[in-house]
Amino acid sequence: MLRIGVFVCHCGNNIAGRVRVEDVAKAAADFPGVLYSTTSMYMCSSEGQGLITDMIKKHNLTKIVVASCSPNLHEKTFRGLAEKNGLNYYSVEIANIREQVSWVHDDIDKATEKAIDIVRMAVAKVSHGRPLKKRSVKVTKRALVIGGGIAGIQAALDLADAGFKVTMVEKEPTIGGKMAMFDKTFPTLDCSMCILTPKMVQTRDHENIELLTFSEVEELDGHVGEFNAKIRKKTRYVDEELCIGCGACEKVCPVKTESTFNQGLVKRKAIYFDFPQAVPKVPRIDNDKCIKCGACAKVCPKKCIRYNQKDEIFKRTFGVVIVATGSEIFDDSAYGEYGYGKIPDVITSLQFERMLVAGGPTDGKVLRPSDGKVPKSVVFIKCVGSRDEKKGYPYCSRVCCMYTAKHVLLLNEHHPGTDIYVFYIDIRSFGKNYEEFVKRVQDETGALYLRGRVSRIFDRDGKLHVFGTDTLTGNQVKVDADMVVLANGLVPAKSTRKIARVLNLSKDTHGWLNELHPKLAPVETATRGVFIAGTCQGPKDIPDAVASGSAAASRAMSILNHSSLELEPTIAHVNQFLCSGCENCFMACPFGAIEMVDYKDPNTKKIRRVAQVIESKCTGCGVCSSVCPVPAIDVSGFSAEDVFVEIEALGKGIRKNDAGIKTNGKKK
Amino acid sequence: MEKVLGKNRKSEIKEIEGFIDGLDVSGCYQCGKCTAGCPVAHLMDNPPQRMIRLVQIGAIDEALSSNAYWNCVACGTCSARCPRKVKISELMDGLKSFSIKKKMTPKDRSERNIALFNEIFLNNIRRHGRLFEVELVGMNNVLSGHLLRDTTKAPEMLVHGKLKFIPSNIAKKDMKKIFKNTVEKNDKR
Amino acid sequence: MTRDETDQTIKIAYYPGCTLKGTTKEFGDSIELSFSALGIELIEIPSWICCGATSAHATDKNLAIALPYHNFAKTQEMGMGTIAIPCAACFQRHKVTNKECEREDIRKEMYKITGHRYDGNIRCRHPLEVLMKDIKPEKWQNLLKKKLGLKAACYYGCLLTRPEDVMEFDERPENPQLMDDFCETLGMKTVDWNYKVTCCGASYFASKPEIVLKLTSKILEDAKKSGAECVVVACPLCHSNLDMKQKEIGKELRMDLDMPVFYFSQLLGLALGIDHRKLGLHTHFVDTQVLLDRKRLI
Repeated sequence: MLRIGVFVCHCGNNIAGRVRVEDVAKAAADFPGVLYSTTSMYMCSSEGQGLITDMIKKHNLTKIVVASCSPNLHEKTFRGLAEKNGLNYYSVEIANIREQVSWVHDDIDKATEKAIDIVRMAVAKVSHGRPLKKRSVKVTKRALVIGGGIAGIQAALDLADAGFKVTMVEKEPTIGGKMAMFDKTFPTLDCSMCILTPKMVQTRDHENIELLTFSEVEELDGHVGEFNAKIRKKTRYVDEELCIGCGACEKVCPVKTESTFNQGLVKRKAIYFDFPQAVPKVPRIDNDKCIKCGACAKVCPKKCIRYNQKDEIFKRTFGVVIVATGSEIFDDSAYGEYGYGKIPDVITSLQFERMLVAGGPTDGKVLRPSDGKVPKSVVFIKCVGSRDEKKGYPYCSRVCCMYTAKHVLLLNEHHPGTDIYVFYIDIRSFGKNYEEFVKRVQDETGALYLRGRVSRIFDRDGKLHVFGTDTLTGNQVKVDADMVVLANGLVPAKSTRKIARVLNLSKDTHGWLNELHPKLAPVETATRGVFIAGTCQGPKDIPDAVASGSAAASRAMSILNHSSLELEPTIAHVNQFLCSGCENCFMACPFGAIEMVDYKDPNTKKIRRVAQVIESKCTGCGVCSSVCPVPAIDVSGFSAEDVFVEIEALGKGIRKNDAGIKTNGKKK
Repeated sequence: MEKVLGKNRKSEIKEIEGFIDGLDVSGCYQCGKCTAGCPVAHLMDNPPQRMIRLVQIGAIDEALSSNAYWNCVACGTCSARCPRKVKISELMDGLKSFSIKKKMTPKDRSERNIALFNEIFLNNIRRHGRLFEVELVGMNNVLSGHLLRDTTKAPEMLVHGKLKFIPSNIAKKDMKKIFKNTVEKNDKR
Repeated sequence: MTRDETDQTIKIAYYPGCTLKGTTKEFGDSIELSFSALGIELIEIPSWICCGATSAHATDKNLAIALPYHNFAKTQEMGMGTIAIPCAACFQRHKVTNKECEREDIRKEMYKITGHRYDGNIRCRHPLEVLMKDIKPEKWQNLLKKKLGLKAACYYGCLLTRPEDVMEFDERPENPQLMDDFCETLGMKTVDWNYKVTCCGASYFASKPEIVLKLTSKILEDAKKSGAECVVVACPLCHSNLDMKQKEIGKELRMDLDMPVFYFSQLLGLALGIDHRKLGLHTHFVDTQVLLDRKRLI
């Protein structure tokens, strides 16, 4: 027999200010199956929870309706409470009368009426609902970290140090990410490689870490505790096991081609390392550029060149996934006024950074790409692609103010006496010791910071004519510079966009991966067991990227620590007898969780094709159910019947109100 | 100059924004790219970015008494490069017609000449349908006090048949109607 | 644009604008002559009126739209689908108006003001667009009789490219190429220079000539320094400023500029073998004959 309790929350004045909660409780008492109804100031408080516990015991309640805030907030609280008191976890329904009623309506009478309707619907649903059982899954104690930049490295090391197995997948031939391109880091001026390489080496040598470089995750399905990944290890044409990284091959290779790692500033060979400290120290043959002359194979002391090597496919199961696929710099060819990226001495910040590196393409000298001369005057332009709704993105990229300050300081160090100009809009030095650093740069270098944007750069007679403004005086200013450095903002890496598709992760309008909650769940995603770290989420500096890597690892550990996990039972099921095999659901499912299988019809004894849910892939989103014409496919807890009884209950309320109008004989 | 800030600024800004289709000055964050690329900013008492600021703080009178918008050549470079899509060029145009509507005259002679030229030009096409160039140059020189400007070029042009001494006088009814329903309508208000 | 089934001529409505019938007659003449040599019939819109130029849009927004609107309405009455407008200033005023006329409320307002109907469906093209984007060089290149071995700086000015979302003249509005491509089709070389889209002062040639002098001098100086022998324009105002004022500028800069300023259409006419006097090449203030003689083009 049904014994339903209805508990209506005041939420202080949040609900009670717009809804007469006592009236709601009174009306609910008359609904079929309701044995008890009451109100409380804060139902989520220990007092409110105590009340529910007491009433379950006193009235022997079997089902509960709580009329309160959004189920996103306290559904778990009340379901947990019910379970503790011996009820089925799913015997609690939340009637959302705050976000959907009191916060959005002004008319108290109508709001109360609507609240009563919503509670009636919840009572109907809970009366109809059947107890559901949670699914239990085993947790595979291995983490997948996608991306070997500083955030991914940090996450992998934290997990490995805590005793968990980790597979790191990096798409480039070496780990290190963008940080490996940097010279110094702000504001401490630590040598970037000096602090990064120890972590890279640890990652390579850690007994708990399996490192797959020059590899990409091609497919991923499953759910928390058991994600199945297909990883492609692209061929390097070099035997990774045998190679000792001596570099003899690179020396003899006759091919010269653009070096992406060095931002096109120098040429590299067809067989190459990105940089001397690469991890693993194994070269790669760029097959598009290789002329198959065989010189490398001839000199290799270990005979590890493999022209016939093929891609390898790895299949692995993971309990959790951490995505740390990073960002790249904004492509300034959108800026016609700065030469569409075609004026040789207008360079990107990353090119400038590479020039500063002592062992880099110019041996630490800042040189004009056009003539190889040291520039006597350099202009820095900030916010290129950032804070620009027209040609770039509206957001602030967070790092450019600081790296530009660093660039100014280092330029002055490498070439003292350089005439330096910095065009900025606002100086954003938000971090610890950052503002002090900017002041130091201005004091030490004598660089002229000009508050204004540059409108146009002209290239004539070996000089760059930079037309800008100093908004603080209102003057137009012109600098005849030898070099212009653009402070390109950050955009999501192409690989971040790609991985979002493979993993079905949600992105914001600019392509950054979305966190579950911007304040309270900053490294979680909407998919349980998938975490994000570093700049794939949004622009970050190194300390923030490292912190988010550690945060993601720590959240991952809270799953890996369990041997099994409980999953929501609210997934799709097919009534195969009813299924017509139209394949609508098969086409519509965004997770590939539906397969078509043979089914023997019990009436006709004939075999036909019908849909079947792959439970491990299903997330319970309900798309299949909405496209099914029969309907033969339902999501547990949200079946067509479940929804219809709610609608019916709503209808009853409306009919009752209509009747009321007639008997009273007056208009409302 | 002290500008007393108060709520009424919103209605003043609205008046200007309403006058210029699609103008939204609140987007401007004063980066100055408009000023940086303006070919005539050096002739303005307030550079373009400051004109926007004046409107932002509701100092409409100060904006209207500026010579900036009269000097604007309407080349559109500012609007084309504005990172916040503020219609600066359109604001400058709008201020011109706004001040005409308010019967304001520019302080300096050279700006008055620009206003004068526009008036002469429109009067010319209103009467003739198409521009009667000889009359335009003549009237402009007489009224602006530069009697001999460009007259040195006249003989050469005359020889090449470029100067016509008879106006087109076309679509007179249409022109009359258009002017009656636009400029002259505003005058009556 | 309509192609007549029987005689293969292309017919386009034509708006010459005021100056092409007067002080810049050579622009109008050269357009008409060369287009007719290409087999493109330009049909002048009857009773077209002045576009209002900068004076109208600095005075009254409705007036600025109503004047070009009238011309669109007249073109619609002709049953033509495309107008070609050579003068960059007229072209821009018409393009802006056409964009506004995408909105029904504006069309209704304009109907009230002018008493004429326009449904907003006419395409507004610059002759350069007609030649380069619509018909494409492959179709008319074979009609050219001469290769023009000139080295030119193509000057687009403000109005052909801005506002870029309305004009849609070139994908790279800060460094347009369409006129350069056109000149190269005629066998010319073009230079890469800085002032392609920098303002020349336009309509202030009459009211504030000192502005014009300052702006044009920078343009001509850069064109000269870039190694160009001449400047190519598509706008009568640009032409007046660069040609008529050039001697004064030269004095100011203490530079012998000697840069003939051609309309793109005059060059097309030359390449098509049309007599240079018909193209008005002798009517410029800066002499064109010496250069053209040297290149054996006349």
